[in-house]
Amino acid sequence: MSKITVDNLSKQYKVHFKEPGFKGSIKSFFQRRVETVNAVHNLSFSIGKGEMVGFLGPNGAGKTTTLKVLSGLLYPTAGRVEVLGFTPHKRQEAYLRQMTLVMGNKNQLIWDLPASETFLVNKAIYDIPNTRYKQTLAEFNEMLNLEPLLKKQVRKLSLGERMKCELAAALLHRPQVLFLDEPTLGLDVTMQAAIREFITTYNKQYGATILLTSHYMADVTALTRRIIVIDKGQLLYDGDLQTLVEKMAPFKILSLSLREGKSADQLGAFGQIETLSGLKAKIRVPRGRATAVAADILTAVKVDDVLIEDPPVEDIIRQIFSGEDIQNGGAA
Amino acid sequence: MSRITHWLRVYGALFRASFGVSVTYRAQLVIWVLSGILPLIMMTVWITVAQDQPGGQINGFDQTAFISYYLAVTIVRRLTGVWIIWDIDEDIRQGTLSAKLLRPLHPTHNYLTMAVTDKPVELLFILPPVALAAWLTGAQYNFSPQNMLLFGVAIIGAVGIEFGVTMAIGALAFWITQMMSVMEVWFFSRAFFSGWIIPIAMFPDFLQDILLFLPYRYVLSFPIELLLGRLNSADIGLGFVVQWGWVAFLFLLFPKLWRRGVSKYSAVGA
Repeated sequence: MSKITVDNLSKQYKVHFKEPGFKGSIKSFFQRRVETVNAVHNLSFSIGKGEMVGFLGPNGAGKTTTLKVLSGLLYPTAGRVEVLGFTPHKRQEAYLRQMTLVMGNKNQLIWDLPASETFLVNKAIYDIPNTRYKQTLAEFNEMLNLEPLLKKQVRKLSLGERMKCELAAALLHRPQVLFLDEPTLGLDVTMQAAIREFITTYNKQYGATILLTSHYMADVTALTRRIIVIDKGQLLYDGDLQTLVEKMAPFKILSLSLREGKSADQLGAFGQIETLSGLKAKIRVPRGRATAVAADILTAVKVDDVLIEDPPVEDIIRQIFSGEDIQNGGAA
Repeated sequence: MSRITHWLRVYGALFRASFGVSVTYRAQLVIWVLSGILPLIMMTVWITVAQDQPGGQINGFDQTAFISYYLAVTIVRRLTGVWIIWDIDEDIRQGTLSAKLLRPLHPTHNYLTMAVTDKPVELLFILPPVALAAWLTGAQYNFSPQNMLLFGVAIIGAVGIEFGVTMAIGALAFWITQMMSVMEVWFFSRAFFSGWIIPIAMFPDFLQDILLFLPYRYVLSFPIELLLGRLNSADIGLGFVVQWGWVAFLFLLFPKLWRRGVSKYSAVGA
């Protein structure tokens, strides 16, 4: 039984265009140029209970629009969307009580007060009983180390500290469905890791269904097994992250630590050379032959170490966005 | 019953938070209160004018009446004024409304709390000096319990109209970017026609007749007229019918505008 169903979703916006400058303003005053933008086009997917799915796409691909439709902020131009059996854009109370939308670039906390005040407001709005409130807060505190932050004005918190509080405020009512839009945006590596760990723990502990977008591949590889990739509002890929890597990159990278310098010609015999500088070399070899080639290298060349790696997910995603065909594994 | 306790808790929490924000901006609060002295300048003007008239009166207002009137203006203006339009404007145009729409609580409750939170604190600042001034100048009011009850109801009605107008005009921000200019029209006409600068009794008769049925009188002048004891029971009856008629109309109108506005907001991008 899937918790999130998106069936042929389309969302169009009308956008006003204005030429720059005073003349443009006068012109647009009398004659407005309106264009229809297809933010999302015939998008379909479904997500099961407790699943954590990464939602990828370049800027303007339609990710945020889709999340807004799913959370109920926007209504679809066409198609059907169902979350927990509700039609999100009706924003029924019973639905709102079970979901949350966190946007990394938007602030939901009361700006001039400590975060704990927002927590108390949410406690009242979501009817959270005292004992459960204390218990949840204690859990979050343990995972996110909120204690030192709770009494500081939100405006005085650093971006990372604020994000921790944002997440806590958004999850206090223990929603079953989470839409996270760039939850780690602009955070340093340590903070990203803390947020990631928190999301994973929440997912496990409460069996919550989570759809998240991120520009940081580390988020995606750490959090999700399944990814949905869209571009220009259309579905490019929906499935296992590892499978995608294998499809898009039917090769592996052998990272060599050489004991003595070798020329490109000498190493070129084993595969396509990606980089060669000093005693470090990276060679691209067909996926199926990676171990065999590695064995050949070990016998033929003096090396300290051979590592067999997948190419970075960033590169693969970039390939998809640059329009290379997924099905045929365009990078072969 | 549990519904009632739910709402009590929600409003308790909202008030607490809203009060916390107000206290953060306490300097602004003081400035707001001080800005309320413009009517007192008008008072001295009218007193000077009245002294030159035969009998020392204009349209039934003598020196004591002007003093009583304008001192009451400073209090009632603080009690009934609703100044949340900037928050609504920001929420709609900057998109901060989105977060509010995704909570199981309509944003109206937020705005209502913000509109009235400051009242007690402002009163705390302004009531003592005004009361002292009233005592020193011998200002005259009808403080009978019955009249104070009517005054209280008129104040609530006044806040109702102010809030309703603000929410209705605020909803225009869903369609036009210059909603604030519409609000300016309300602010300006209200300053003039509500009796803030000039008591309505000083206007020509035909204008007074018209103002009897417009909302302006009922956000300021009407409660003050009650307090001054200048109205007979027929005036009072008509006043309440018109005032609460406006409250009812606005509270039917603004939720409709918001429903439409929010659905447009949901169409074009939140």
